[in-house]
Amino acid sequence: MKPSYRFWIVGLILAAGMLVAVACNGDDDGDGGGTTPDATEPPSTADVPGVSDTEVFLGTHTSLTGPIAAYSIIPNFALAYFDFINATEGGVAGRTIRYKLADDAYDPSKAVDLTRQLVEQDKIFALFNALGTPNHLQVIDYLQERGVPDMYVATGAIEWVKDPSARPLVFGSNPNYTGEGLVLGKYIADNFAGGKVGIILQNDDFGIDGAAGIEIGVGDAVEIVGQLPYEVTDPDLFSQIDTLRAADADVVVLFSTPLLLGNAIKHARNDLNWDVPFVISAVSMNELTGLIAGGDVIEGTVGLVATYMGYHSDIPGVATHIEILDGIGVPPEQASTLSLYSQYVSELMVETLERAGEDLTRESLVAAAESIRDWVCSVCLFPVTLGPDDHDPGQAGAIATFDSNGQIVVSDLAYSWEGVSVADLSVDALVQIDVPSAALTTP
Amino acid sequence: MDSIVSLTGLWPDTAVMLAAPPWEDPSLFAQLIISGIASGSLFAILALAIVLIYRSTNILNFAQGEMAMFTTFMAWTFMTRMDFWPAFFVALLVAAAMGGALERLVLRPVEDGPPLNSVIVTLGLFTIFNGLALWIWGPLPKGFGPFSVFKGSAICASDVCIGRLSLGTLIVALIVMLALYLLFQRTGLGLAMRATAQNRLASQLVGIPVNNMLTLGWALSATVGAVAGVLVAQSVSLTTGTLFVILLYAFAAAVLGGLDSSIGAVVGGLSIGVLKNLSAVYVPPEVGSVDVAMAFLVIVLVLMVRPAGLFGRPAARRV
Repeated sequence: MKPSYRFWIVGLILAAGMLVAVACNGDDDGDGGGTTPDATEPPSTADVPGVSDTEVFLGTHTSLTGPIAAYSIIPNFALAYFDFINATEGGVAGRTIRYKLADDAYDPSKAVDLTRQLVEQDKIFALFNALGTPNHLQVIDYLQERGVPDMYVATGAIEWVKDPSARPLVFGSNPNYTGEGLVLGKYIADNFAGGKVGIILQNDDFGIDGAAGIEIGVGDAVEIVGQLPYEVTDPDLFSQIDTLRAADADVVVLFSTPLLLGNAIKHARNDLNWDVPFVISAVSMNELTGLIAGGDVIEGTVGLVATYMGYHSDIPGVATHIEILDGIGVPPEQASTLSLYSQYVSELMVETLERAGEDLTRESLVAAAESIRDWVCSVCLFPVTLGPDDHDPGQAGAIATFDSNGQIVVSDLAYSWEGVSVADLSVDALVQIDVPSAALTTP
Repeated sequence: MDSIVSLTGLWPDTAVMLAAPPWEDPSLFAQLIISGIASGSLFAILALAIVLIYRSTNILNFAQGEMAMFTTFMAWTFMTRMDFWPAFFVALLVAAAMGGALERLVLRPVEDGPPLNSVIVTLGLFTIFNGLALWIWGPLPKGFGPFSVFKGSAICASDVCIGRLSLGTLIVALIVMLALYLLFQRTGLGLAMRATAQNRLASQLVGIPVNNMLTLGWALSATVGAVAGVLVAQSVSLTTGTLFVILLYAFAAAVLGGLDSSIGAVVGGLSIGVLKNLSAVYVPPEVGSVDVAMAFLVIVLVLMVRPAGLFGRPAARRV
């Protein structure tokens, strides 16, 4: 019996490796699609999938379990928010919002099956706030072909927003990673001029889009001593940190999810006595990262934010936020940039449905989204503008810093790249904007 | 850092650093090895738990990582009520009880069937523990250490450093390894456990309380797993997914070292950690991000030459 074990352990490991390879390969396939949607069908109010006189049915693939289960507060809060709107306002335009969450556990192949189920069996009206870049890449063209609106995807990959004419039914929600990288790059150029920057990036659209922005942002002011990719399956970022330390980096950029990011910063501080400043992606610019790394380790780390913080409870939107969280058993101190992001994007969806009004069709929904101008959600720092050529709502961010308690402190330095398409992103395209003074109060 | 290679296609006009070769930057080379040992010692401890259960019950426990995760969450709960050390030891006791109970209640009915049945049961346990932990403690990561024993600045010799947690993990791995070695090679109890794993019927005939041996194997393994969990969680963080990635490497370490050798588990774990780090840095980026693949390639090569692993004893069978 003994040898046969070994065979199938190795087999299992190889199989797991292959799965990862297939998943990564799939990302590339997603890029090449670019199919045109079926726009020939005339709009009909009578027979719109997922819409009745009393209800509108939304759904999404998302992460409730699996490696990024920590983000499940996003779909769970959205669900609670829609319940809140249904209870307090009777829904939108006389229709209650039903929202179905299909858990793909961050597994791209599951996302495909679940999305097909949502569209073909559940017959949802629209996808809302799909979570996970590699997962959503697998279904983006399917949704376009099926004519299903793909509203406010919960990642900042430029794939969703770079060309609305090629994919007219998809809208982003986060600041796109290249725009975010651009602002962070400019911050580095302004603060570390003449120095050396090292970049550690997740080897997929998230990291690559972000690193591209950093590179534009730093320009010639700073030398990039290394761009070190890692895979999501890697257990730690030790070798990347060691290498950048050997290269005498003056600042390190991390486009990574919270767990590995915490691990990387801990390695620098605790294992190497290296007090290099870190600049990180908004993906990890949340209180979870502070909790994982510990306040003493993460203190001073810089990134972008676009909402108020949980401790800004004087802001009416934040007060409502805490109330809704309380309704689902989450204590106020667990309000985070993740849950606040969820409120922003849920409010954006409600706003879109309101604009579409009673004659709700998939076409009118997209048109309603494209009509949004200078709209500010109740927990947002900056306005949102969309249009036929602009499916990228969050195109601004404020520089923020972790304090010694792992809380995020917002600064008065913010930039906007509103209306600038991904291809035209440059330092000159950035406009410095004001941060609401209420956001500057510290915890 | 002169050798800059551009990675065309991925980032059109971006330079990706290729680190200086070891002879030009020996301190980076040394640091990569030390850091590799640090991550490798985490793999090694969990690998020891796997080896322990294999030696004492002759099955592979795929739920090892999730059990460790579960007991670490329990330790976290205890720590909200008491200090680190008492909480840690209570968690170890609970882990031992849990491991023993699992063997008695869940594994016992399938133990007499083909080993594959037991393995499938452990796969089931994997899912159950993950679901339970998610249900009890929720998806949010928990802040977990590093605890005061492991706090303080890193220990450096010129430019090469090791953190206190990493050093502590390595020392714990070596202690557990030594303890297991002594248990299995130098005590009557260990001999009885090995005999049980080898041939249950014959062991029973010579008067070994076979059932107790199996229970003890699971209890000890769960305890070692709990130690691993507490160390991993301090290094990475405590979430329901934390131990899964480590488990994959721990299995690789156990297989590389030889599934029945505790020394092999540690050597295997450390080698994989070091190999992973070195190939991440010294393999040209055109080849891609191959650190993990490279580590596994080496395992396959080793197993082709030594199917029983580096330290494993080949299973000889008289026919």
